[in-house]
Amino acid sequence: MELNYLCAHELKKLLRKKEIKSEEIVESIAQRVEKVEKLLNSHITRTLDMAKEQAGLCDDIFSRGRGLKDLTGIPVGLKDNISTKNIRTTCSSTILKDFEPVYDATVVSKLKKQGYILSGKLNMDEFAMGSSSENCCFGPSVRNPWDLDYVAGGSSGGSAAAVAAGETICSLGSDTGGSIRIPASFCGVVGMKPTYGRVSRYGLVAFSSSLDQIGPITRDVTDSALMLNAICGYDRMDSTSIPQAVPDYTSYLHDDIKGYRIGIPRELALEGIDSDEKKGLERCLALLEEMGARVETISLPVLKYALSVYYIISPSEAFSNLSRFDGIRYGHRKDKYETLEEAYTSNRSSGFGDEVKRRIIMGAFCLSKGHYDDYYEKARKVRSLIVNDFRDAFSKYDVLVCPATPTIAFKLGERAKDSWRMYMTDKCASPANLAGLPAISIPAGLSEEGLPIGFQIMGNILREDNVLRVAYSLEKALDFNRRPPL
Amino acid sequence: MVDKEEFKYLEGLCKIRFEKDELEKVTSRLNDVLGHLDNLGRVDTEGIKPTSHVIEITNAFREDVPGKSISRKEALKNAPDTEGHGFKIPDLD
Repeated sequence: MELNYLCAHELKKLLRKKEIKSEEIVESIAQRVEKVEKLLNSHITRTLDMAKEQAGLCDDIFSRGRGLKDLTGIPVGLKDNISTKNIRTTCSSTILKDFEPVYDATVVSKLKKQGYILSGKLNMDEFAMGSSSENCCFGPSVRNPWDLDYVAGGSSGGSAAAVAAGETICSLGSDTGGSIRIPASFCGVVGMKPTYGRVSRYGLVAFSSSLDQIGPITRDVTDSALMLNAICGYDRMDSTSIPQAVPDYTSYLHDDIKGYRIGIPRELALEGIDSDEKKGLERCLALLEEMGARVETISLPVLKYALSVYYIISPSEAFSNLSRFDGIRYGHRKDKYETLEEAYTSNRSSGFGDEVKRRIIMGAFCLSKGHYDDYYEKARKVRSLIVNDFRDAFSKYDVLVCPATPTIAFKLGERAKDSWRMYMTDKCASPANLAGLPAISIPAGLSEEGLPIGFQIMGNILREDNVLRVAYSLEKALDFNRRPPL
Repeated sequence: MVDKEEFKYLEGLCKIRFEKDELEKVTSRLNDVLGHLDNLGRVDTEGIKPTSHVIEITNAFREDVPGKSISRKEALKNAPDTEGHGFKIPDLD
């Protein structure tokens, strides 16, 4: 049995029956990482030596049989923008190349309470700015385990590739405009962005604070629910955290969606979508109807402008958030300067990669005198219209569905020189961030070339129940073969 | 359209500098993106209030009580250079 390919809920059962040991899971992962990591580059920092020690401690807990949690003894990888105390957290940036946080992110503290095992810190686009995981400062781009000539998607490319390739069991990513769902879709795994405010952002290195949300990347929907149970909840360290009790997300895993009302927003599902994604969409819609759901095409015209809104608001917030990186209190610093001004400029110019610099400049433009009203303020008003349109749609529909991405994975380098073409990758995913909605991407089959197709399900604010239920039912009906040929 | 002069101004605001030979390419890439963003001008937003955050939470106050924080040693741990109990910056003329 290749333990590294099982789901957390399957491993949990085997661990409790004492048929396997946590040490064996870690060992099977270590062997897999050894074999494929040089091809994939999904890791920035490997922590498997620590993981082996941790597994030994978990096995002691299992032998005593007390204090067992869902994720006890389960390896989980973390995107490298999630702070881990005394373990390097780089955001895939030169400016943080040796940075070791002095505290854990809230999600890490919560996973520790579960007795999880950290399997590694995972690769990403620098500061989560990218849709392909090609903007990496350490080593080459992350590669897609289904075909190494293709991108893994971004920005949580390492988190998706590692789960898909059996280098870890589950992972956490962050999603600002699709950064969990896009790579999950490209790599044939399940990626979930919870409602904004459901998961604490404390210890997540901020990119765009009104959009950022941490969420799980897993092999199936059941694991997604288990991970949500572990990481969701109010946190006083995050002022945008929702002060509401968290349900048991596994209680929504019912294979029954008879009578569910499902809307297909034309602007995200039918316009500018390639034939592979359309094929996946049609297959999913047919299955949903077969299961007794009522499926209707709808129009939310303002969604045509969502990508523009996203690419004004996110760089503007990034301009502000990334101003803290100056090379004085921490981070990369160059040696010789004439003036303090020159010190800041030199540290930042040599510490940030090109895409990060371009987005900071774009943010400065959108916020600067003379452009503020036409760009930043205008985008925030159109965002209100998007929020309202979604609110109206959810008064009539339980979930909205569309492809997770307009195209399947593309070749490495294919979009790197054309910013807008790259940004178009976020077209289907970013609207959920603008409205704070929970949204999941599940694999809906393979294209003729053998690359995964992703299907997205969005729910109303705090209606993860509907999202998980539809995803779980569809996952059963699709019966996706979740193992890449690598 | 951002011209050379405005790009220099933006670089100054950001404390970021691109290499001279990259300037033309970077400016034209920025202008290309801005061209796509301009479509927002077509949306009627008369009387619409802007959205900052989608979850209506205001004044997330907590009690102002002293608690455990990171130590001085931890605060200085990642500094490129320190002296005594402080961060040290390079000599400036």
